[in-house]
Amino acid sequence: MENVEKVQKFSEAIARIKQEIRKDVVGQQEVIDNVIIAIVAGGNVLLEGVPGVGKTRLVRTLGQTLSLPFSRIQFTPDLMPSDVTGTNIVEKDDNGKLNTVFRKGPIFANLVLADEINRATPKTQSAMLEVMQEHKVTVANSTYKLEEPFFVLATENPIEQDGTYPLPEAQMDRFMFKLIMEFPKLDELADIVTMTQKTMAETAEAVVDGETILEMRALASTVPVMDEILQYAMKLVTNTHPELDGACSTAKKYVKYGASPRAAQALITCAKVRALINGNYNVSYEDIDALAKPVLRHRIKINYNAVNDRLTVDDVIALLIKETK
Amino acid sequence: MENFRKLRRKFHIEALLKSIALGVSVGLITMAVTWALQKRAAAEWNVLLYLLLFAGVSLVASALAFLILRPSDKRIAKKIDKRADLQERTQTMHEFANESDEMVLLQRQDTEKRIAATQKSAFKPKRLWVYGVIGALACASIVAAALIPGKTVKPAAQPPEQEYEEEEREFDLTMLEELIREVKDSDMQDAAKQPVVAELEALLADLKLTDKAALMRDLVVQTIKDIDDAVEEVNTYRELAESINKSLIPTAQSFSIGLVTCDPMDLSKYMTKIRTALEKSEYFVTDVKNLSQGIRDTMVNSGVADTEELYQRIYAFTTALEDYAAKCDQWDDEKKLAELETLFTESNQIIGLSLEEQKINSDMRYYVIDRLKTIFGITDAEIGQLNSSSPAKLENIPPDEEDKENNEGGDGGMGTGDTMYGSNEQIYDPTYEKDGVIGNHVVYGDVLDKYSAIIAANKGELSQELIDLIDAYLNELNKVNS
Repeated sequence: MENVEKVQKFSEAIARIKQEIRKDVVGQQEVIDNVIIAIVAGGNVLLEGVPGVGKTRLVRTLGQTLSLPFSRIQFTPDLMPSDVTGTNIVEKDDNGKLNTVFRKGPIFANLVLADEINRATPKTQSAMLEVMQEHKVTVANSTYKLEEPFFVLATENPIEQDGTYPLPEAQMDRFMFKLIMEFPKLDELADIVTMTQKTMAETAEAVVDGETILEMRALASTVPVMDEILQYAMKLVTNTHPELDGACSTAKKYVKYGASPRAAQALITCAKVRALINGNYNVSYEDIDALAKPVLRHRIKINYNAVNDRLTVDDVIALLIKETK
Repeated sequence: MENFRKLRRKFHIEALLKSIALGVSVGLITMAVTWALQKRAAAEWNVLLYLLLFAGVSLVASALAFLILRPSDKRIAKKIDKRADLQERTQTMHEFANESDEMVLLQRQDTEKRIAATQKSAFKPKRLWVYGVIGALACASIVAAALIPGKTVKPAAQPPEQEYEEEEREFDLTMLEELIREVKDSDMQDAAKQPVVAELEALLADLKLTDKAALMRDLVVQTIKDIDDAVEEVNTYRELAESINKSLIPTAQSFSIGLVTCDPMDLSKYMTKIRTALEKSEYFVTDVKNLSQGIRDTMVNSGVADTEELYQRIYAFTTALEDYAAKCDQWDDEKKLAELETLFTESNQIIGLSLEEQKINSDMRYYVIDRLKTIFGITDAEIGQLNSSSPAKLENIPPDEEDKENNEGGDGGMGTGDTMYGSNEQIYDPTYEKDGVIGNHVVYGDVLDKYSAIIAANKGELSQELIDLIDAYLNELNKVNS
């Protein structure tokens, strides 16, 4: 069966990717798995972590592993939208004729690292919106399609909030996942130091290409989801809304705003990928539960009751999962 | 989906066996409970019926249990996933059973492999202990029912056969034969005479057949009671007097009759009082009409047939009274007195005749009873309470003649028609209310003081006539007591 080979190929590719990434990134296994899921699912990821935990390194390594053109955009407050998307410039050709040429911005890559995205102005941030959602750039009435697979991995520095511009909900919603890169454990830290003493350069090799990622994406979309699990995922997203009839008690107590329908789409899409990555041919409850936090944590807003009760957004999501079951 | 089907069959069989176990247990418990209850009620069934009950209940319970316990395919898939930790693989396979996408087929294959690879122990029946407990309870219930003692039904107690002593006959039946002749020759009304003669003749016949003295005494006692009842049924003066007595209470005031005496047969006195009042013109026409109607109404409720002679004669008297009252305004005093004389003389005569006949019946009844008591040596205690034991005075008209015969008659018990009031005797008190009925018999001793007190309190307001009447009455009573 053709699919059997595809699935086998899929599994092998994933394994190789993970293997290569482990060469340059120590620990953060869950983050790596979820980033891979997001890439295969065709979504964007928001990475949050204190400086030095390896956010940029992860994206670079990923770029190398996937042999995808990679670009890094360092967001600063003075970054202009055209600095991201590109702009038309006037050039003199060989004949000395002046022509308007569109010089592509750093966004024109398959893998884009938007570093410290919350430091850019809203205007610049919004320039990313179209790109992230539609995978195309419009400049001076000309639309330039981006090459697939296109993946934005943005980072946020949770400290140094002075002079930053929090991402608006609309832009946050466009990220499939928000992943937290925790400070490495003691042994991991030791490994990091040992490894980087030898070399700081990434040593991962390209193991898959963009074509393979697209094939994997297509294959994952065929994974069957039974109706009960689908309903469970929908119920979970609905339960994040306190204003709805029949809202659950956790949402009423702790949630200010609930997740958008994109959350439901992300849950199912990523669950299929996760199932396949784990060697399963169907989505299970475990897949939904495992992806609930990455999918929902940036999409729901907790209220002061949660703050008062010293609950984080992840804690509230855990309660929502419990109540939905 | 072969492996799934195998497991499905397995689960269905498991459900069937569990249902049968449940059904049989329920059948056993039902049978045990029924058996126990019927044992207690001493109404046990035939064994076959119990077995039929058991079979029926077991069948129905098993069927119901199977309907409940039999899992659907979806539930089976869920069970398999849970027991084999297949993470919704089987359920997904079941849901997409009709699809043929490549990935779905792959999923199906993978699931089947995993099901096959799962150890059989994962699919062993669970919670069998529950059925074990229910089965044990069922068996225990049968044992308990068997151990419950049944209710022993004692045979209905037979009345002990009365043993009559063999004694020599101490009396002569010729005296009884003579008594029968006397009754036949008496002036009793036929309606009373015939049943009395019949009773005596039946007694004679029975006595000739036995020589057991105790039996004879029983027969005589029964005959006495029957004779008393038979005469009481013919004599209506008692019922009529009681009913008239009640009717006179509300209307008596207008005739200044005053307190009603407790004697149920003081009809003669009432007629005298009415006559006296009419002579003195102390009445209104409406009063007379009310009185007459009142008498008639209460007679209707007395239970006496309106064809009965005394009934009709009293009725005629009330009608005559009304006629007099309607016409007397047109007459002068002399005419009025003459008419009254005629009315009361005639009425007294006619009513008196009926009363005389009933008196004869009553006297003869007492005579026969006394003779039987004398001949056979029967005591009052053996006879007990007779109808004629209640105080009743049967007076002839004219009413001024008082019955001066007191305390005559045989030892113990009734005299020949005398009525004696002792403090323990019951007399009729028209003011005594009991159970919502005004006018009942009370023990005389209980009301004597009450009457005396009323008299003393109201002496100034009572008419001289009434005071005289009461004094005479009380004197009479005191004579008896002293």
